[in-house]
This record gives sequence, structure tokens and C-alpha cells, in this order.
Amino acid sequence: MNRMTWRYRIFMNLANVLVICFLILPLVPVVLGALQSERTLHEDVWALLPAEYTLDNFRLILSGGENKGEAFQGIDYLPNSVTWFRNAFLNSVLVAGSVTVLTLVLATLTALTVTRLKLNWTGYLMNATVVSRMVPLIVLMLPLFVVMRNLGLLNSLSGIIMTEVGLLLPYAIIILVPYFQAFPKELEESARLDGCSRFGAYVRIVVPLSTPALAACGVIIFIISWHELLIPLIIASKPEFMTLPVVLAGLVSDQFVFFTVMMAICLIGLAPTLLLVLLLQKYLVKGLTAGAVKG
Amino acid sequence: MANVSVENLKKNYGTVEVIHGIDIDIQNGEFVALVGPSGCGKSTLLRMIAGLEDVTGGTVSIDNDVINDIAPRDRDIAMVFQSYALYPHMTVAQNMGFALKLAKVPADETEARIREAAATLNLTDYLERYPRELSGGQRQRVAMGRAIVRSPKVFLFDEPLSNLDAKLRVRMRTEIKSLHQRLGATSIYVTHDQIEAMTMADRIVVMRGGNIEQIGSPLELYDAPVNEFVATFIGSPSINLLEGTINGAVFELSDGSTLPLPAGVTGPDGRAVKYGIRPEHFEIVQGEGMTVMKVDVVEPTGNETILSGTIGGQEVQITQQERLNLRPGQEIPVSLRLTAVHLFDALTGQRI
Repeated sequence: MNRMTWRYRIFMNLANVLVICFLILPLVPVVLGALQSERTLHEDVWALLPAEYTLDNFRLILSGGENKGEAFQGIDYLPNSVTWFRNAFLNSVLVAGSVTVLTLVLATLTALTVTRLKLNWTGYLMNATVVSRMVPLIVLMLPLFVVMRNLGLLNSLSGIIMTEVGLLLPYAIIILVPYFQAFPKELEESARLDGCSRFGAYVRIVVPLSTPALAACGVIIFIISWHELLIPLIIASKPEFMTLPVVLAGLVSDQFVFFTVMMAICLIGLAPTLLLVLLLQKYLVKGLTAGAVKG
Repeated sequence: MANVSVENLKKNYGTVEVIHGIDIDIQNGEFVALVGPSGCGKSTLLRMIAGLEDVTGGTVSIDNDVINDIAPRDRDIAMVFQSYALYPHMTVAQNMGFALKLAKVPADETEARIREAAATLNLTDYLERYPRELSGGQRQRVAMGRAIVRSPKVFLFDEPLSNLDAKLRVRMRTEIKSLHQRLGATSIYVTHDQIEAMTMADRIVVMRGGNIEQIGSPLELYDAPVNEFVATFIGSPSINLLEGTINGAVFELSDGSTLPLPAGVTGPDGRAVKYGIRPEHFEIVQGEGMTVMKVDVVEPTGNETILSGTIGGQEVQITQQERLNLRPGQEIPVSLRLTAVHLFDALTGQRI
């Protein structure tokens, strides 16, 4: 590492802090919004800090609309998004979790095919994979809806999971293939001589040693799936199959906007991804650079 | 333990044939070295025996059973790789016990066999360490240990010493040889280092361009190479090859000076040949010698002195055991041991 002058260092740190502030800034109104009532928000929209703090927003959504608290006294109508929140959260966990696991399993198997089996068509397969990612998702929505209807998978979590796996598989393959290509072949060969089948060597040697890549890939897949709005919105119209992004979208309608509830849901919705990134942080940095440099 | 035989073995990569139908018979307990320059097909041959490369034509057999289509794991072969290929996520003991675990050997027997192998290889204190915590020489030994705990039919070595420094390489060479003498297992050892091959092997297979040039014991290859390639490949410093023609009973160099031909060699006058003689078969004489060498460089190595210079305008190197007091530019009379001279056809390279 080159030695930097102190001026340069201060400048770099300052720039770094600025970028971080810029990224975190939107979170400030989210946090402040979640901690006040709709009434105080509307009283003075220019106020930097809320006039009074309350946890009623969280109480409301976590109780599924039962516990209205002070802030929501007298409000008779609550949208499905509020009453089905807990269910939607569980749906999101289930969908994102299943999508991540399924995508990783399928992508790992594909990466094995592409990098280890000397088949002529794997090159075309990879090209098809890359091209398939270039089609904007919105273009696929109508045909997707028709296909899912014919399969009887509308309004089901399995329909959402299946579609998201299909959408995210190319991403995962593109991330994992270079990693497996850089993986020393001798290790697998040695395992095959030691008594493993080709597949056994992959499962016992390659996969355990690829944890950084799998973790990095898994986090990316989980985050994308967690935030995915279009697919669940199109496939599931019944409230019992809503996921968090659909719940959030449902809070904005022609007649009403529940700002503070929306902010509270945003905060709760952030928690799992944040937790995951913190847990897998050490793998993430390793995984995203792995394969770039030998050694 | 087993004998390994390879018959008319061929290997194609696409339309390119890289191994052109070779035959080798390896006896039970024999240590055979495959040597040759890079790209001669020696590693490919080894990998075909291991089952890591498909066989295009011919057969590979162990104990007279053809194993062409048998998976590597069912061949009962252990291989030591150049990069050692230790499993980084397993300790030394787990690395050594991996094959036994897969073979469902009882835990206490596995343990005993690991302990025994570790004791043989001085690894007992390192059993709980991970490969990254070991030095190059220790990793090399773990790779060996992983092979010997299995007591396989055949050991394969793919340039196992080339990642070690010179000193360690010499020591491991001796260790591998003494290990082989103790275990008596059939071993096939690939190397590009002819010294390794010479010192360790019972028999050496010299390969070039996917063909076998010669098979023989180390000294057979050294003393009676069948062609120019084998002659130059084996031995260090390399054999001297002087270009010239046969002229009656003498060999005539391009500048007109002559050297005597070995007994019994005659040929049509004017036949272009190469006159091969190893560096140690020169003798510096007092008075009249067979020819005169002009010394250019004197390199004392301690146990011998290497003299580089020219005879009849062509470069030669000779080695002498005596301590010499020579200066560059000096001309010295030398004699040759004629029984050690080999003549090679200048066109085909075959020994005459």
C-alpha cells in the first residue's frame, strides 16, 4: 500500500463519509416517520423532529390492526396491508428463504455442468443464460400471468417462488461459474481417486470450500427476492399471499396514504436483510473478490 | 500391489492425437519413472492410468484386468499431485483418513492406519493441523501419507517434488525411494527432471511427442541410448555431440581435424554422423592426445571441474575429478575413452 499524505487521507475519509451520509439520509425520515403519529406528521410537515414520539405504528401492524393505540383511535377502516402484515412478513421470509436455497442448489448444479463436464452445448447454455437476463421483467409479466394461470399457480406461494427462482437463476449462475472455474481441479481429482464419484467430489470438496461464494451469492439472491414487487403483485391478488413489498404498495391508494405505518413496515422489513448481511459479512467481502486473483 | 500394463494406448484431444499407441509393462513392485520434456504426454499417460482422462484407443490393465471404463474411485490407485491437492478444510488426520472414511473402514482401524503412516512420515505432531499451517515439505509428506494409508495397488506421482526448493527436493527424493523400498508398492513417477528419474527409478521410460523413445534401467539409458534424443536428455552436463562425417577409419570434423572411431565402426565414407561422448569420458593427457581442446570457461564445483571450450571449432563440455589449474584460452591435449563413444546418424538421430 502506498503511503498517503494526511491531506489525501482526510479528503478520502471525508468523501467516504459523504457517500455514506447520502445513502443513509433517506433512512432518517423513515425512522422519524415510524416513530410519530399521522396527526403530528400532518400538523407541521416542515418540522425536522416530530412533536411527540409514539410506538403506535409498530403496535398496530404487529397486532394485525387489533391494537389501535392512541394514534389510530377512531379510524374504522384499515387496509388489508395492515391487517395481513404478520402473514405477509412470514410469506416474505418463506419466499425469500426458499428462493435463495433453491436458486443456490440449482445454480451450483448448473455451474458443475458448465465448468466440469466437457459438453459442447454448455457454451450456448451460458450464452442463453446471459441473454435471458437482458429481457426486462415487465415485458414478461403478461405471458407469465397466462402461464401461471394455466398451471393453476396463481395465488400461491409456490407460484411466486418458482417464478423468482427462474428470474434469479441466471444471476446466480453468472456469479458462481467464474468461481468454480478458478477452483483447483486437482482437489476434485484427488477426491475421485480417494473414492468419490464426480458428484460426490463436488458435494464433499467443492461445495464446502465454496462457502464464501455461496454466501455472497445467497445474500444477493435473498435481498433481490426480499424486495421483489412485480412478481408477487402479478401472481398473488389475495391478501393471504401478499409479501412485504406488496403490503407496502397497498398502503398507497387513491383514497388514503398511511405514511407512518409505511415507514414502520419499511423498518421492520429492513431487519432481516440487515441481519443477514451482518452475519455473513466476512464471507461477503471474500466472496465478491474470490476468483479475481489467484491465491 | 499389482502389475500395470498399457497396450497400444492412444489419446486424442479433438482431432489431435497426443499419444500415439504406446506399450509399457510394469512389474509388481517396480518403480518406473516417466520422463520427457514438457508436452511429451507423460502426465496425460499417468492421468489415463488414474482414470482422470478417457482412453481413446488401446487398453490400460491392472493385474491383467482391463480398467479403461472403470471409474477412478474403483481402480484402487493413489496419486500424489504436483500441487499436493490437500483438502484445505480438513486437518492432516482427516486428509489422510478421507479415503478410508469413504471406504467405510472402521474408525479404530482408520485411526491406527493414520497413526502408522504419520509415524513413518514424521507427521505425528501435525495430525490436528490444517494444510495451511504446514510448510511445503510437510504438505508434501501429508500428500504421501494420504496415499500410503490406503495401501493401494498402485502409486502414481505427478511431479511431486517440483514445488520444493532444491535442498528439500534432494531429501524427499531419498525419502520416497526408501519408502518405496519399504512398502514395495508398484509406483509410476512422472518427472521432467532426469536426475530424479535416474536416482529413484528401477526403470525409466523416456517419452517425446507422445511416443516412447526408450525404456530401460537408468544405467542402460545412460550407457546405451538408442538415439540422440535419449542421449542428450539423460545426463548432466549433457552429452557432447560433434558434427562431422565418417572418413575411412576416422571421424572428420568440419574444420578438417579428426577423431578416432570406436572399434568395429565403419561406414560409407562421407556419411554425416554425430559423434557423441559424455563429459566424463575425456582425459587430459600429457604430451600428444587424440585431439586438442581450447578452454573457454573453467567452472569448479568442488567435487569436479567443468571445462567448457571447443574441439575443432565445436562446443564441448568436459568434467574432470582432479583439481586443475587452467586459464581460459589455454589449449590442452585430450584423449577420449573410445568404448564410451556413440555415433548417431545425423538425419535420423538413431544410434549406429
